[in-house]
Amino acid sequence: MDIQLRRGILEVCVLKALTGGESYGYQIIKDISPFVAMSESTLYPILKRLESAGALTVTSREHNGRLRKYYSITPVGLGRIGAFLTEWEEVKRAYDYIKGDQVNDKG
Amino acid sequence: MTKAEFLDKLCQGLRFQSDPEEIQKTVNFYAEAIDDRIEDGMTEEEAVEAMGSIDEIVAEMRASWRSGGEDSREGGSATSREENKRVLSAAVVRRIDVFDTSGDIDILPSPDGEIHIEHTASDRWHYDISGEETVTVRRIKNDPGEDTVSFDIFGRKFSVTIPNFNRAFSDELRLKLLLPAGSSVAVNVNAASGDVECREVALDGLNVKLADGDVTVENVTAVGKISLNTASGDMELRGLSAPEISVNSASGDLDLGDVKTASLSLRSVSGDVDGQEIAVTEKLNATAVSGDITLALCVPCLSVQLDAVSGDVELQLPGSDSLYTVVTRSNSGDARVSGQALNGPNMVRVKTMSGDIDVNFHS
Repeated sequence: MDIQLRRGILEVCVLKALTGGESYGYQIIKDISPFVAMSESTLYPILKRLESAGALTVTSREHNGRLRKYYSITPVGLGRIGAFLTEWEEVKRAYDYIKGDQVNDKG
Repeated sequence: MTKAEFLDKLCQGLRFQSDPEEIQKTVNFYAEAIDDRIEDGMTEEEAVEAMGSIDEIVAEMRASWRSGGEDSREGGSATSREENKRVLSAAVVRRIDVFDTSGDIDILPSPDGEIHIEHTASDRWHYDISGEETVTVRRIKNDPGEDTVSFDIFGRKFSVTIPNFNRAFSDELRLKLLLPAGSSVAVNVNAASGDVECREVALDGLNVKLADGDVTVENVTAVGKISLNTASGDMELRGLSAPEISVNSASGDLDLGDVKTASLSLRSVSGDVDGQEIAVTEKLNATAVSGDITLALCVPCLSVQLDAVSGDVELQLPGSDSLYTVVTRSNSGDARVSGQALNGPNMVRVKTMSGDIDVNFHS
């Protein structure tokens, strides 16, 4: 898959992981792991980009005597998820067609 | 590896990033990730191992910082260039060494009282800036990194890992050194290819070596030596003042105007040497292997030596001929000296193998 395309998809996956409420790095990775394997080295740049784009906000909170960064989705982020799902409706239709059992028989 | 060792190695690996805050944020992110896994039940070693290789993290951060981090388009551009800026204190910096660069270099006045170093970066290369009193700017290759492309065709998974040499890129990195008035910095440039322009600054010294590129120096004064060398390129010098100046082009023309110095050395292997309003007081050497020498001095010079191999020499000297002793030799051409110039204190020697010599005096 094109690297840009893959990064874009992973970004929306991260946003999806935040729709249940604020979350933190390791938790996001755990939530996504049944669907996509992601390491911190991939996640960190994604979180930075999403923050720059206004799709999420970051807060530092104390947890067990240390500071932890918590990420929350914003309306912009929710809009991104919506846009992704709409765009990929079409991709899904094409996928189903290409994969489909019907062989295109013109005979 | 312990958590401390990992974070330390990571910090080292990220040193190319000139903003220490960004380095700290990144290290903090990974410290947090390790702590979270330990809290979850892993041992310190397991948690560190789960972070992956430092090289991979560094490569990802390079790519991420390169595309600016402000990119809200999906993924960002593969050929995006980043503008990097560093500000240094003019009170501390004594010397700037620029190595192995490729792309144009401008040495210009600073907008404020500090030294600014600004440069672009490309997909393959970036500049590393280090040092305090002696600042070194060096071109460094980025980690090429790899792309893993995964396919899923009718339920079968394929995975291919490709090194990133295929990206479209341009390796031209622009570099700007902005020096404030009142600073005294020696600039030393050793560049692969690119033009160098130096304007309106006062330097401690200037040393330029190019494999391929033009050099333009305009309205510049130096306390020490100015030495300009290019293997292939033209040199233009206007309004220059330094105790010693040396200009050398293996293939290109030298064009000088309003130059003040005690000692001037000009050499072009394949190109002309042209100078007007040249004020040299002690020593002037000019050599053109295959080109003409045309010089007009505006003060008498104690010792002048002009050598052309296959070209004409035209020399204008200020004052009367009685100030000079002129000796000429042309193997196959005419030598004309418009005066006697037999026993003046200022020595002038002009030689050409095959060309004409013309020496004139003007009061």
